[in-house]
Amino acid sequence: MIAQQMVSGLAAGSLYALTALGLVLIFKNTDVVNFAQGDFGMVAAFVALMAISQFKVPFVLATLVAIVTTAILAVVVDRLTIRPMKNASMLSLMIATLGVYMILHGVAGAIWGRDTKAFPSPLPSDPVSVNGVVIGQGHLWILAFGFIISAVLFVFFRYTTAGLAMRATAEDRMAARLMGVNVSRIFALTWGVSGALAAVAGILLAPLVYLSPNMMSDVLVKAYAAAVLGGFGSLPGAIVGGLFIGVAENLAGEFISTELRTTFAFVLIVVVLAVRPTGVFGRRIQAKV
Amino acid sequence: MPAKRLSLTFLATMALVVSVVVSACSSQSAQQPATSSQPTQAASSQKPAAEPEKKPAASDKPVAEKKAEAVPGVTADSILLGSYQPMTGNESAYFRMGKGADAYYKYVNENGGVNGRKINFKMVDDGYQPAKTTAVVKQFVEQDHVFAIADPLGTAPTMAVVDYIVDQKVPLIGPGSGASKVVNSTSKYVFPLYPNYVREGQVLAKFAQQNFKATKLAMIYQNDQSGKDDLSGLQEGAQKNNQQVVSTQGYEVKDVDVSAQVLKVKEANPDALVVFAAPEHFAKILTERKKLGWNVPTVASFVGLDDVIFKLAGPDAANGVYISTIFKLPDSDDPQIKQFREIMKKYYPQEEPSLIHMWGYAGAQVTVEGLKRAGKDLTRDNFISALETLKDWDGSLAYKVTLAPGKHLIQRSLGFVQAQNGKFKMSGDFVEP
Repeated sequence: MIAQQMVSGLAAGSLYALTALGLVLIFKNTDVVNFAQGDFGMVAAFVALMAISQFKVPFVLATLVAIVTTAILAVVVDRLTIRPMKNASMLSLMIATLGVYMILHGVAGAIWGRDTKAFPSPLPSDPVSVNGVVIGQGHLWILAFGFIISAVLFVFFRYTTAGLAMRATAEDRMAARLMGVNVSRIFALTWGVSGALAAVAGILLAPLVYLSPNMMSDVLVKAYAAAVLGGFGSLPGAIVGGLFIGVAENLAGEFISTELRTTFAFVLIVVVLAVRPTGVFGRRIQAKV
Repeated sequence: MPAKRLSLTFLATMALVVSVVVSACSSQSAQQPATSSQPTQAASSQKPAAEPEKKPAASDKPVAEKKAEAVPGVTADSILLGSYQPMTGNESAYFRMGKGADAYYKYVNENGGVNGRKINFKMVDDGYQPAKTTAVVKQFVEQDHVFAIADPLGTAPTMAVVDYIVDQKVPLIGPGSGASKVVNSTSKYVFPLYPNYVREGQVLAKFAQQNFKATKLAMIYQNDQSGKDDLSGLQEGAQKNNQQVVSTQGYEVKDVDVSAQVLKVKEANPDALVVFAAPEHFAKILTERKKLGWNVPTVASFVGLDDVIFKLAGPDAANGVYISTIFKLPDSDDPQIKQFREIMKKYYPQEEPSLIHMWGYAGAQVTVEGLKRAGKDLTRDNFISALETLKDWDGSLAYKVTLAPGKHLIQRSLGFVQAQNGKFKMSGDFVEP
């Protein structure tokens, strides 16, 4: 049973991990903690569902449409809310993204309704059983995508000019600008990529958490915690953080109380941060001059 | 590596603050509007004096005098009813209750109204926010002078206003709430719509004994007042039936994952699983149960009864599961339900008729019957006494409505449905718990 609880925890953790990736990506490159990240995914899932059910578009095409739409949405959000506040404090930016979250949440409810909908998934969903320990295929796909996405991002940051420019911008905005990097284009690119990432996450999660304007609310909070745990800047850290939280929750449920499992998972995070303030995968923190 | 201006500890603190904000927004939505606490018995054991029955009889004669008195909300050709509804906000899916009631009143009006009066059913949005409900109801009572408050929605909103409504001697008919304060109200002005969850929990335990021969029960419940009430009912019932409750697992309304709860109850190896969960979580529980290949006999509360579970969990995950119900099903062949579907189609063609529409619709039917029986000389008191004459009345979606002084619960009985290949089928008859 403990093995099953851990595997089920990994499954739930995969949801948090995938969402955390987008959070970390934006933060790493623009110093913005984006609370609207989850709801970008929610919007993407609704767009995909609309494309599938109303316009009879095949799933893959619908996914592409949703990815592009969400990427554009993210760039627009950057343009309209973050860019005009570029000199504001980090806290103000956080609040601004919280506002975007509220707006997306309200608008999605108004457009698509607030009742929960089923989201079709073309991926096989039958559970896989190994030695009596069961995991849903949907969760395996999410884990797979989480790792693939991190690998792609790793390659992108390491080996492409745009990736290099992004890293340079993250390191020192002024220096990057002096070196001829178009910083605002880099920011737009970062938001676009995060939007696309959110779309993939939303579409993978929707069949499991069910589609509604609220679908990402709980996931986002856990994803945020996962990002913090992973050092908020490390992509593998986000994945490990997400999986850790999923497992910690289920083990707390097994040994302490299912009612308090989320609470204990967060207590654990506080403890981890007390011991290792930079997060498990974080590096030394310096003040930016 | 980018250097960050703020430490992770700060971020973690922010995360907690924001998570509180976010979950406060989201948890509302999953919450059932129906919560309850104690058995309705309390209401029935209380026997207010029979005075309401006498009063109208006495006041029947001096008709002219009564006209002069001016009954609030009643004119020569209209009756004003007020209803607070969550038209916007996270709970707006429950506005279906108001639409169901509205459809029925429109139908009645189109067919001549009640005793020559048209019903003016005024719905006002409170967004499921008790503070707003208070203002809305004050306006109903003090400015609009409504005759009664009919078919309003929600536990939290109703809790906030029930005392005031009773104080103002305004009838409150069929509120969509199982809150003990409402269901157990001893006021002659309050007519609750459906039984509370403690009673239901007892019925679920009995059902498991009779149908599954279960002696070991396990329960998964929504960890809020409504779920805890159902759980305590189950425990009481189990004790009475010599059953054992071997495991009880709560989940939070905002939890996305219930795998741990399902595993824990499976570990306890019960003969039957009892579930108290809103449809989304119920579907997740059924999915986990299927994933583990665990075919335990399962019975669930009516709060989870919704076709959406077939879409969310897939028809086979739900196959064979029993769910309690307060009404016959919206797709039933029953002539009254057929009529309900036709009326819904006529006035709200874009809505898919559902059980929540039926809450409002059934309450509206009872209200109209009361108005009818109260006769042309309508007062609040003779309306209430007229309602109290309903006996085994089968003219509404509610099953055999019997109301009497001190016995105001509209829908007393529960039935059961079974999920069969993506459809719910009635199983047996309605019984009064």
